[in-house]
Amino acid sequence: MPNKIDDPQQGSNMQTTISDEQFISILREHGTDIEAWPAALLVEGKTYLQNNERGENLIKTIQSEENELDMRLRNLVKQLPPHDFSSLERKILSQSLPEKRGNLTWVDTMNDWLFGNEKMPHAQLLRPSIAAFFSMTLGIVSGSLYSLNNLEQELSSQNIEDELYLMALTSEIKLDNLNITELEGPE
Amino acid sequence: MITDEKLMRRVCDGDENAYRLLVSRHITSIGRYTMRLLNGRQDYEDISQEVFLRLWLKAKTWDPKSAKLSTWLHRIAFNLCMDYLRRPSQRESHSDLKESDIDAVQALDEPVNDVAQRFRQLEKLISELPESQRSATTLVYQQGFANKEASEIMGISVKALESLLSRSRKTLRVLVSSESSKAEKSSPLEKEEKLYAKQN
Repeated sequence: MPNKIDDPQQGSNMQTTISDEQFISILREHGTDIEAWPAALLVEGKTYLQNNERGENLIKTIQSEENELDMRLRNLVKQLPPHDFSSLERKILSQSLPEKRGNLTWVDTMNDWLFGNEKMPHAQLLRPSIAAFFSMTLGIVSGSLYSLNNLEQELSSQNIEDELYLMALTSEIKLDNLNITELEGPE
Repeated sequence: MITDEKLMRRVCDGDENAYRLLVSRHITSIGRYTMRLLNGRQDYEDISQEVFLRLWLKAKTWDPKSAKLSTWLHRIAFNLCMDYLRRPSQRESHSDLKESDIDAVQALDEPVNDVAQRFRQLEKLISELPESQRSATTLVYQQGFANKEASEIMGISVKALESLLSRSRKTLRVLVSSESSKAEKSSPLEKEEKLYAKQN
């Protein structure tokens, strides 16, 4: 039967849809630890417990029922006829084990990564390609940077020389047209 | 008897005899667990093989202080099985029911007298559970792990594991309750009323 409850948060009377049977069904479905119930049911369950004296007793009853069921299932499952795994054991023991390697150096680790120590055929192609691509890019970038620097240096040094030469020429022209007295200034 | 820890130390040094001993010691539980999780698919052998290969290769990563060797091996088996079951091709074939399976389900309504038949029904019911419930049930009921260990293997909280067990009990209840006498079958409300009467 549905239970009428007060919701203190909303401050109004509301009718819950949860009945004794439904509470039992939820207990069986989600266990007797109400805190572990899904959020939607948790509120319903807590409200039911607040408003029903028999709630706690129902939990105890279901709990003892579950414990009993648990015991019986445990016994029953343990009695299941054992399976013979001797052929599987032979299969595992007959497989050749990969060589056990001690402490790997960084070169070994890099080699393993590059050429693949595991059964990954795609990695054996992909990883060397990635490594080749990166080293090529690095080479191009560093090479171009280095040669550009040189070129700039060469250009700049050449420019300075040219500029000096031009300055020298202009001063010569100016000197030709200048009056010496103007340069010396009034006495 | 040499402990798992000592054998694992020898495996770390590349001792194949120690490895063989460990395989013999754990093959039944790992084989049973993978077979149960994969619902008897033949691939359970490959998965079990992979579990022991990882034992050989990754022996150094096992920390005896954090988990027992059986817990560690079951965790590897669980992860491998889940990866396998997540493959789309496996998901499709998972729901296939054989004629004999349908018979077994229908037979659940009938009283169970034959022990072999009861076991068949139990196997069937377990195989029909969702993967996570099947794993939890096998680990706790069959492999004898404590709830905490089983939750560590499955990478979930203890509460989540208990919830899984509770749901699987709901399914398996059919089998157990069929062997209970009718006298024991009073409803929880009646039981609660008796309990209430006793208390007052």
